[in-house]
Amino acid sequence: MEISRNEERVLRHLLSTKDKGFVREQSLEIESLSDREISSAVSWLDSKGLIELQKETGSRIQLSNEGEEFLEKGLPEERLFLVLQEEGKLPVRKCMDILGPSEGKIALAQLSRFGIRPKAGEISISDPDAIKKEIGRRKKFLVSLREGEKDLPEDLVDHFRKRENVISVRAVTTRLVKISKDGEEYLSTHAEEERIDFLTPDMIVSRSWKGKRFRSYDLNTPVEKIDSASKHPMTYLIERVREIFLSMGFREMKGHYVEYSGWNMDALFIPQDHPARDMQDTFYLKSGKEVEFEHPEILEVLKKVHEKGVEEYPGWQYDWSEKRARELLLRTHTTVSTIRYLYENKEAPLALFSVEKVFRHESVDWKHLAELHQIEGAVHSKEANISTLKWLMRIFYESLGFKDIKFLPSYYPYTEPSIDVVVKINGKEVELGGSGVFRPEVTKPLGLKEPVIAWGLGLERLAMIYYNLSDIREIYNSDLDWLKNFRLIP
Amino acid sequence: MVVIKDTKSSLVKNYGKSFIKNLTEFSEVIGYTIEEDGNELKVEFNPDRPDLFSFPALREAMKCFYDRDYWINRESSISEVEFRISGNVRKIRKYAIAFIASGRPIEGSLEGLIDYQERIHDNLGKNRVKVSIGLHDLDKLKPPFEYRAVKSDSIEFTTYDGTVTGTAKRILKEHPKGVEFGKLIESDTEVPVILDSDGGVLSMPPVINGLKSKVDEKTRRFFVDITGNDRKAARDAYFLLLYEFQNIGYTVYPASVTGGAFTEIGADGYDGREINLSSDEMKRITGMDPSQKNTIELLRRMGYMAEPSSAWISVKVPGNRVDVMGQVDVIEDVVKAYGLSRIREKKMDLPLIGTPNRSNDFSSLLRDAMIGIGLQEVRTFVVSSSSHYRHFQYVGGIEIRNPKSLDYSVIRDRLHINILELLRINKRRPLPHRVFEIGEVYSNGEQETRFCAVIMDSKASYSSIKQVLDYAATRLGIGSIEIRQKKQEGFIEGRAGSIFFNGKPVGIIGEVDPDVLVRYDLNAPVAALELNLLEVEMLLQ
Repeated sequence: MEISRNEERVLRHLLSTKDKGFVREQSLEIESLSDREISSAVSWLDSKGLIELQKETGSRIQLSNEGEEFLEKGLPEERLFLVLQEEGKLPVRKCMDILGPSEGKIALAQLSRFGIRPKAGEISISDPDAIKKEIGRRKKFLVSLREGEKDLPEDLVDHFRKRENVISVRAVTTRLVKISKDGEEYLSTHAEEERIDFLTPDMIVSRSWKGKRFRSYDLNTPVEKIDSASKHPMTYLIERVREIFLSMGFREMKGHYVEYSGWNMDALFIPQDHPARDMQDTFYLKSGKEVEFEHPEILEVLKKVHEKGVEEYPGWQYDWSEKRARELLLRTHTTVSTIRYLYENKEAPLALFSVEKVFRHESVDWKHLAELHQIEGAVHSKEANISTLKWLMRIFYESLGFKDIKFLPSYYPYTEPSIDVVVKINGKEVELGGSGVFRPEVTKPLGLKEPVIAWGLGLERLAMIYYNLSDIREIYNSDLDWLKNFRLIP
Repeated sequence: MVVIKDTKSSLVKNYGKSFIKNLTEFSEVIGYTIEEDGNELKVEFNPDRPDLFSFPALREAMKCFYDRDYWINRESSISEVEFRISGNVRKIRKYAIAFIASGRPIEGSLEGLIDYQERIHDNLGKNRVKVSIGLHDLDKLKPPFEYRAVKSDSIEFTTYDGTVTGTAKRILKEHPKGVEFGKLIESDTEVPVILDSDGGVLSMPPVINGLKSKVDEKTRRFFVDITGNDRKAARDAYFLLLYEFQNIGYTVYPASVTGGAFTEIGADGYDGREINLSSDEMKRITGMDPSQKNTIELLRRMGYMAEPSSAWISVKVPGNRVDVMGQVDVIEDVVKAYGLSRIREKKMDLPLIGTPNRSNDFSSLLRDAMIGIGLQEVRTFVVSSSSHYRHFQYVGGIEIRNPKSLDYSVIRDRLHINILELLRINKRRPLPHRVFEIGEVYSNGEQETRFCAVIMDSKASYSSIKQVLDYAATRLGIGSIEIRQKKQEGFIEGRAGSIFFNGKPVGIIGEVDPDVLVRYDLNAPVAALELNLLEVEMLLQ
């Protein structure tokens, strides 16, 4: 068993007062130890069984605010009495002037108990000595209270208890302590010797630690929390995803939030009356400033594909509107970055990715956000097909620590086949995103020769699982305490 | 998403005991989801397969897939019932087609049929804009039928529900459906109607049917009209309904349509249209190399006709598979029938070197530097509340036209406002707060990557934030930095300025105005800096 220096000192002190039996904790006086330190040492000694401890409940009387004030200035009744003694008579109104309205009232009420009552608006004294004596007792009571005396006259405790805010009476527990058998045995087997508490630069320079022993610490004593700073939880996930793709030879794209429908929708063969293009699904923008339409020559191509298709594929067969293609929106997926990048860089093989925000026309609540990170990936290659897509998805999720994934048939206007990726976590299936092979109506008009596989996976849902969050908003409207202390390893 | 639902007990009654189990199994083939809610069963579809949007349709597809009751393309014989299309509908609602379905009295299947019709109205018809469908009791009518435009005050009829009798004009004004769909007819003096040879009104498409042709549970011969403004939607709806009637056991006969060539919707040859599937394309898209025999079987199970051909396989597509546009769609069905989970994955070797985005790397370095001096990274919403800009001038230039709520209605034009908001949320947390964000904003219509650091403490001052700036400058190798006194919105005058790098303004720095602090319910001093990282990065190069 280890005991601290403070504990040892308290214990030795208790050995010296052993004959007195139980002593009050408050009565212990040990040089250079504060009451708090003694109290803490007593608790530890008790838990180690080296002392015996008894508790005694009683009440503790203390001066309150006004009590302190009265002690300083004199009780209101005393002050009025002194004036009255000098003057003999006083108009009531004058009393108020001297003491102020609130204290004046108290003084009058107290004096009336001594039989001094206003008559015709005046007060006067008849028997000063008795009053003087009683007031003297009251004053002495307050003084002895301040001095911490214990034996107080019951009648005065009662008296002041009834007066507001002069004294306070609280129930307190007093601890009584006595060294135990084990404590005595401990001391008899542990000789008192000087041990080093804190190693100081002086000791090192003067070599004064040599030949002495260091006091042992209780290594499990709680310590104060360290102040910390860290990357945002999403940053960790984004970096992880970047590492995975970079290690596989992918190139990172950086796109922009504001896009034209033409690139965000039409280039991906999403027909102009598709529900995803409704005002209920997409944030459209007031186009205050001019935003450049990148590669406007594409508009002609898009019109043709939507109206008449490409090669054997007949297209959507409707009157395509350039005006709708020129609507500004907040991008709904980062696939828009992929498709434009592929248009600008047609040579295969090429592997692309990004982890950036996309926007959804959602009401924000505990499970929905209007902006989310999308893990975007695409491969333009002779080898890009369903078999390699399955491999890529499995490798990707495995790297993130998800071993159990499942593929389900799905539908997106720009991929065929379309496949949803479902991850099994603790027996629950969580849909994390979509993937597939770009349709010929997407790749052929842009001059891409090889198949393109692509995927868009949600990151926030992953984050909720990773960081065990119950409210998705926590990620961004964050509690700083959480940001500084979240678990790095799920 | 399209949802169909029914009670489990009625599904078992109509389609047999094993129906629900099979339906669940089939969901992994097709890709719909099933949800059970008490005794109710809901099936939720992606929008691409309207041919399956009913339980009878699912039963038929499962019969084909599991019991190998394959589809055969039988030419339906043309009915003698004539459907004349008058040239004057050309400007109003020009595409029209019709068919006759005959069988036993419809009885309990009527409700499901009407539901299916409504699903087609919503899904394909975009709430009747592109196409609408009318169901009529042929036995109550006298063919031939005529589709023509008439003056809206010259024709009178009673609505199918018997609530309004009067001129077309009156019905458009008084009947709720008239009010709802009347606006789809562009001209209000002329309306399209379908009449029988007695002049009785079958319908005023796409608004409302007449009472005369009303179908009920006893109806056994249907006249079905399809009218619309969209050629493809009209054709698709026609075949979807044609097949749905067959799914519930009716024999169908196309009406003999006469009239202008303008109304031709391309129905001829669409049913059973041929797609030539090549094994090269199969391999290219899936990475699999299945045998011709197996592929043919899988295709047949998915409802196609498939035969060997010189190109590999000749596939014939049923007319209700309106989603099938070419080889890749057929290939997807082979994949589904084979089972996605059974496809063997193949490792991909890319002869490529991973290339990070330089700006993102630059941000990462700065981020690490900030963590090093004990600043906590935060991320706030890009789409922010317009209420922030009641007190700040909005210089982003990008506002949302259709916000869901004002709390998320503008793209932020600076980061530090959002961080003040975050500090407000964290008011109960002990000081100091030393935080930073690296994120995108829109300023004057352009996207910028910004870096913002904010220090809040009882002793926070200009020096506290200047230390951060100096440190960042040292770490990034920004040599010549100068701060020029300049009034900055939201900062204390005389204690804020513009940061210049190589003579170019790249950001702002200063102590936040206590007026602003009070607005965010903050009661300790805050100092902040905000840098345009893109600009800094460019100047460093």
